[in-house]
Amino acid sequence: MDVSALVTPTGVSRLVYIDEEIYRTELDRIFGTTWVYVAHESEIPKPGDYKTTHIGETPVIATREASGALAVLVNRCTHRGALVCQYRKGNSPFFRCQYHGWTFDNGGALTGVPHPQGWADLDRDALGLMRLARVESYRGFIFASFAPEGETLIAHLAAAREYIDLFTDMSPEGAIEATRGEHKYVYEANWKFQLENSVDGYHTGIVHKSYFDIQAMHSGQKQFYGNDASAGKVKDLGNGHAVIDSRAAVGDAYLHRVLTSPGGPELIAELREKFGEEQTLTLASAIAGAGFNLAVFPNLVLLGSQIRVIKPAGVARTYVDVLPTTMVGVPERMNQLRLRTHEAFFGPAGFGAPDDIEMFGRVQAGLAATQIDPLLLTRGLGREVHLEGDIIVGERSDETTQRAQYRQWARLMSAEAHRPALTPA
Amino acid sequence: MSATQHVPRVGTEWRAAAEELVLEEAAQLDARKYTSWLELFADDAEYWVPLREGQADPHTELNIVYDDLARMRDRIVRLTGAFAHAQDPPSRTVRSIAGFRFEAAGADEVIVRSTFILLEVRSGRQQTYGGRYTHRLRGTPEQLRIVQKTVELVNSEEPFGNMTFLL
Repeated sequence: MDVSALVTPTGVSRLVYIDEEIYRTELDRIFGTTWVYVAHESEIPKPGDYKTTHIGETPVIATREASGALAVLVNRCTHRGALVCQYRKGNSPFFRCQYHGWTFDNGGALTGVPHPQGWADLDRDALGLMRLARVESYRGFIFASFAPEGETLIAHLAAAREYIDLFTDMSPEGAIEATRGEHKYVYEANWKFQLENSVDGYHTGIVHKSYFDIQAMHSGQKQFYGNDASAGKVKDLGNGHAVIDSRAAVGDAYLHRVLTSPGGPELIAELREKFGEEQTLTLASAIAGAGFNLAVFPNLVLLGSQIRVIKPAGVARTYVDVLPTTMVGVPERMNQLRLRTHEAFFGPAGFGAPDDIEMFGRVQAGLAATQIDPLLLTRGLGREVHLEGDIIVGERSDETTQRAQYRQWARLMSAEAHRPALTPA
Repeated sequence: MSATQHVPRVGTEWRAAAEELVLEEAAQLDARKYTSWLELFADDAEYWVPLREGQADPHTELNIVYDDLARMRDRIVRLTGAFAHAQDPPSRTVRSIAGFRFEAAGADEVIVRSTFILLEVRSGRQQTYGGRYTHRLRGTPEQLRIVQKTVELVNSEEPFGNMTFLL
């Protein structure tokens, strides 16, 4: 695909959000090729545990095999195509297609075929559930790729690794869990709006003014987002990954948020006793989150305390799963305050996230205008700083992050895709 | 219900007052009279929309909404301000409530269970929500306040669009 007309140094064409053929190509060349986030290991800790999700539009099952190994299987019977698993999460040593009874173990091997005498030579070894060619986990984050070959997950994550470490190491034991439930959204607009918006530092103070005004009303502190006086920066981390790093700008704002929450002062006292003054400040801040928004191309976002997963379901239809994490090694009431803090902003009735989704719908509707193109992504172009290792740094509200995403988008969309193997591995 | 379970009877006067308050609350919401809606609640009130079917505890798990009165006030500050974009323009709603059942809970409290269907229209899109309301009310038949409102949506575990209006 010739992407040079779609992604230019100054912006992107409306077609990348509305064109069916481009969307189909994305499913193939992005979701069908590169490393895609699937699930967190804490969701499937024991042998037999599974969680169903989608890679692009492909239904998959992330499973923990009897050996403890992770597998990602395509949730599609190899006989006549029905889903073999109907539930979001569970524990099962096997999956049985209830259409004709074919049965597969949780590593995908075909173990049962009713009335097999109807076949002269059924090759059971070749008819296991399709397994994703490569599955790797980094710090509990499970990724999979349909491509049999390609760069390792570590290489793919590039400088995003540091932020995955920071996110996980918010816990004093370096372990987080995503087991307390998930908010699920659906919106009628392109999947990339959520990816762009997750690392958009320009919108924060505008779209979320209502939320930050309420914070300011309680804390007496002015919001620290959305202006160039902020000490926060955005970074292009390589391979399409990008971050808004607000840590330097957060100051004691997150601590104030805790102190003005119900039970907050008592929790701070308990933490001081258990962890000492310095670590208490770090942990208290971590209740609100890590102080950065990381977007791992194409579908994972770490933001606040949450793991956010973006799943395209049509050129103008997207599912988003939002899982707040809890920390291992802290008092239960700290994790509960983390859940309450998350609920204030996120969820379909939250004070923040629905306003973002509102904007995605407005953009999708605006792009019906055929006479105007492209969408601008030029903010901060003249003031970026290039660091070693191809890292580009911009001011907090610069569109450095979106430019990073579309560079990777163009790179993947121009390349011949690694076609998924037509026979199961 | 098994024969051994005893549900305390609720007298006619209490029933009438409790049903009236639940319907009044619904009318306030459908009219978007948020400030007077808040006045129907007690100081220790909670507004809870569980996420998981059968969820018994709002504390240990994620919820769709779990507000104390302070957060309810914040919610109304937001909804009545100029920057709640997801309610600009606002949702128009109408809800139909039926199947009232009453249960006494101590000398001055009554629990009202009901079912509802809610129709919401916003920006050219019409959606239907439905579920069960549980209202815990406190006071006397002459002066009742809502202590807890729980909204169990039948689609609570499904993906949602914009649910920033009040259920």
